[in-house]
Amino acid sequence: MQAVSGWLLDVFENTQAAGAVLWFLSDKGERLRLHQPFPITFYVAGPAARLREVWRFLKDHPSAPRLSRDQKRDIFQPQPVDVLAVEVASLSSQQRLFQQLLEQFPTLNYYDADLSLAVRHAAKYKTFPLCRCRVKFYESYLIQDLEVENTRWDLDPEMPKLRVLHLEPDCDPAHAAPLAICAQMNGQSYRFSLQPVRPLLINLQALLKRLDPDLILTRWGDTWLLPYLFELMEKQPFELALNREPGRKYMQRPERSYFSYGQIIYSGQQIHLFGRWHIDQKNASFWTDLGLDGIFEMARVTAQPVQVAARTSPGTGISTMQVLTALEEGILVPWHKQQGERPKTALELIESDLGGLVYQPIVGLHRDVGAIDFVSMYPAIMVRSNISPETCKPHPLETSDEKPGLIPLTLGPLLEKRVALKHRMGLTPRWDPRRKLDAERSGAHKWLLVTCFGYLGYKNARFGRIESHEAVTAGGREALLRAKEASEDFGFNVLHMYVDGLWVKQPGYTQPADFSALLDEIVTRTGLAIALDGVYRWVAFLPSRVNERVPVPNRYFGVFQDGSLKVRGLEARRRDSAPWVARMQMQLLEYLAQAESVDELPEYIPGALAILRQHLADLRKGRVPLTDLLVALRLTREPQEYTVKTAGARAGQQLLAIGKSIRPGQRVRLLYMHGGEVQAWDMPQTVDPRRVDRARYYELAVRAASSVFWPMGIPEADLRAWLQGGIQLAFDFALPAGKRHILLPPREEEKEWAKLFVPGERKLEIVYS
Amino acid sequence: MNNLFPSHLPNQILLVMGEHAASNWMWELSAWLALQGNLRVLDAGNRFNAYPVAQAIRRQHQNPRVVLERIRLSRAFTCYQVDVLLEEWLPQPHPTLVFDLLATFYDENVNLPESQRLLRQVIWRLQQLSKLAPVVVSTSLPATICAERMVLFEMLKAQVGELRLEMELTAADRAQLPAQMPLLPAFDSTTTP
Amino acid sequence: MGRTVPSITQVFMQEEQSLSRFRRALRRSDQLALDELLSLARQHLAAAAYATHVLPMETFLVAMLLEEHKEVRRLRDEVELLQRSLNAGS
Repeated sequence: MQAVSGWLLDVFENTQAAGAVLWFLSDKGERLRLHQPFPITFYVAGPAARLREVWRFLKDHPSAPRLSRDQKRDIFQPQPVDVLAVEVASLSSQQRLFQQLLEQFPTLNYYDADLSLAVRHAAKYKTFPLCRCRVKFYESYLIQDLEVENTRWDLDPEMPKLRVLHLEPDCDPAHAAPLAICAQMNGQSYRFSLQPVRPLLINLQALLKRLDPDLILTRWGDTWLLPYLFELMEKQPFELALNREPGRKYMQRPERSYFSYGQIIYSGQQIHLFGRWHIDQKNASFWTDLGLDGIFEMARVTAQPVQVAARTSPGTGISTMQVLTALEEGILVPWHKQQGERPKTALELIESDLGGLVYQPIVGLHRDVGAIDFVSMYPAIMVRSNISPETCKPHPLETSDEKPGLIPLTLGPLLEKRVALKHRMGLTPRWDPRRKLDAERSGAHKWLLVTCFGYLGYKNARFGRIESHEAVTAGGREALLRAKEASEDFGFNVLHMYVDGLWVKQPGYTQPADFSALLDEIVTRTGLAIALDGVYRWVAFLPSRVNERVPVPNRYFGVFQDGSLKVRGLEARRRDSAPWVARMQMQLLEYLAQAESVDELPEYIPGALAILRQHLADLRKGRVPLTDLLVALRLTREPQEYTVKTAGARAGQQLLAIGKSIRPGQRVRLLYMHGGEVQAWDMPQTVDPRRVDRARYYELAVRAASSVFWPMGIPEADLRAWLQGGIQLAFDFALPAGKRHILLPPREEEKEWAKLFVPGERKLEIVYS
Repeated sequence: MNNLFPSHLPNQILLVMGEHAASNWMWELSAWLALQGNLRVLDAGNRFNAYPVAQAIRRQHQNPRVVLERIRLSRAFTCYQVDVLLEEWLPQPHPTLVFDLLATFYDENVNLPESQRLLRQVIWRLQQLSKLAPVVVSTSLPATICAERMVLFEMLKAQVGELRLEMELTAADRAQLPAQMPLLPAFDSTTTP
Repeated sequence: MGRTVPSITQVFMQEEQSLSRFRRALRRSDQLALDELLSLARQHLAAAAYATHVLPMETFLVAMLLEEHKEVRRLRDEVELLQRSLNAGS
């Protein structure tokens, strides 16, 4: 018998014997593969006569299930349900048995029938990825005792030192055929040529054996690198130790496109390994926002395996947490949700089927504005008003005396952890490295809390209910209006309100402390936590740009008192902007942000205009690399399904024509070319830079710049005329109001521009719209 | 609007087809029935837009709020929910309207035999309801990508008392107005944020 | 899950659309006035959503009146101011 302390890395089904495999990393740095029996139970409910038939069917079944009768709680039923409990030795035999039962007895209700091994293990042993535990095991590595020493809610979980191997092809495989694989670990870099094959495999094997990484962090590992290596291994044949688990191949999840929050999402195929983790940065949903620590936090709080959490879709994480709560509370997890809506009148429908309140901001430039946000408003309302499928629908923002329901039980600790982390971040100085760690982890919580609301109403959500969803939005509207009333009672002018935030100002109120009385009042009136996002030195709300008929209440930029920028809805923040345009706009904003106060802002306008001219000159002289002009447009359907051939659809069709796959939800990168044409970047032929439609990019840049200059008092038409040269730019600066003049003598470069615009194809004209 | 509808709906299942599952016609029918008394609506395809119903009521009644309260509705987002909701509905002498019945059955997340089994059950339930009061069901045809689900429509069609095609004017049929240009500049603080 | 009742913005656009024949037959100068009225109503979409009136157009009409009244008040103040300065001057 041995006992070790360490971290749990992963748990999955044992294929050598019925049960589970657990990979540990001990305090001494050993990587241990332990195993334990792990029987699986699921439940069948229905009329007694039918259940007896099921009993007879299962009694002599080869999988030898243990059968018993029980009473359990179905959250949608007022009374406990009589169920037949079916226990088998392994997850895979449970899944096979469930499929057989479904075919034989399709009309019965099934519970706990399609749950992952990880969530079952978490419910039984309180395990989660990277939890600290003490294990006792026999010489056969059979676990005798497993004790978890911390919880998912620890603010400062102790982290092991993980060994990370970076692997990636030498170029984007969608764009060109890679020639080599680049590896990096412990600061050392290696490059393995793809040809010849044998040395490639031998070298990689040597690296894997020598370093024995816990995590293989790749780029394009899901879509190209690992499938490529596994294919090589089969052809050779050669057993490359990508897995730690001997004899295992890999688990593949195919690519798919699905709807989520009104948006079509593409998720590429996935390759999961056994005993090591594989994370593809290019396929990890949260990589850019959360980083590795955010992904680990996501895995920890949702109790999903790291490889799953890294690629999880919004909703799946929160759903897993709900399932875990249900298992812990002895609540049945329905296989699919059956309950429809409780009947309501058509009048009630009109009065309840609406979302958050979105106001139209008072557009233009404003000084000394306080931005106030409810902290995770919707989840906070669910917890405060105990909103859950099994609880009574409350009046907006009222508390309830009922026992906490499943949803508040799930969200409560997560919300507390987020608030605690946010609080600590507020106290941590900006230079402190812990701040970044906290920010990444807090980001994971934010994602989960944001999606938990949508998930409450989602049609396939197991514990969703329309009435709960409606109660939450009703609470949100009430909270926002109470906050508005409090602000106005305190003499503030409300500039803008957006679902869970409001922007207020009052002459003489310039410091965070000036707003604390208001914050306290809002907390008193709503019972919800609220935070001052900051006090803006100045903030500009913008009108809609693309379509004046569609309101865009979320387009603004501003500078907080510490000089930091906040930008929403502008090109600089949009993922479909050409990097060159986004960077140009960001530079303009960063330059303007240097103004100590709004009074100095006008002095910075000439400099900002110079930045714009500099970028336009770069474009004209061909100094902008083509990769910086790439526009990444998301396809919302199959390329051939578009009736109006958008730029994205045409680029997608180019790729389809040469046999490359492109699916709804994926982004297609393209360049705008002369003659209104586009070219998909992942086409094999090289692009002739002279054919790039620079006039189009000029247009995009001027529009992006105009969003910045417009609120300062410079109309777009004037900006264009000034850029054309020869005129003096005179404008009324918005704040403090006053006439300014900026002289621009005509320059040669403006004349040069005219040559770029092919006659008849696109005129460079001043557009007054 | 009375001439839109038969003066008396028989106690049987009437199946209506048309653009967007004949929703315009169904809204008018909801208003017309609500003006006369209570009715139940099962919205199986997210089709019940209460505003046009309120407008249609307003043409004949000064207080649409009162009349809207005579319509009791439930929404279903999966075919399982359609089945369970109908199972829970007690037989009543009020008309029943089902909007876009097959929408959730066309959903390929549920395999076809299972959809067929549920639909058989649902049709049986509707037949029971139709013994006491009229049942009007609207539907659309499956999209071309799931053409094999046409059998579901055929199943339904074979079991109803009457089939009605509601050819509605679509936007494209109406005389097109030339595009009208907005006259306000986009960058005007009064137009839009 | 899509909502069943259209959003206030969708309802507003439908109401706008239903005015398109009326609008077409107006003189250009009157079209401009109509567009301005509609854009005034648009400023109060959030409040109109919260109102959940069964006939939203009635709320839009009140929103137009509200903005018109603000303008009348502003002009009245201005006229009074001018009058006072005229009286003082004479």
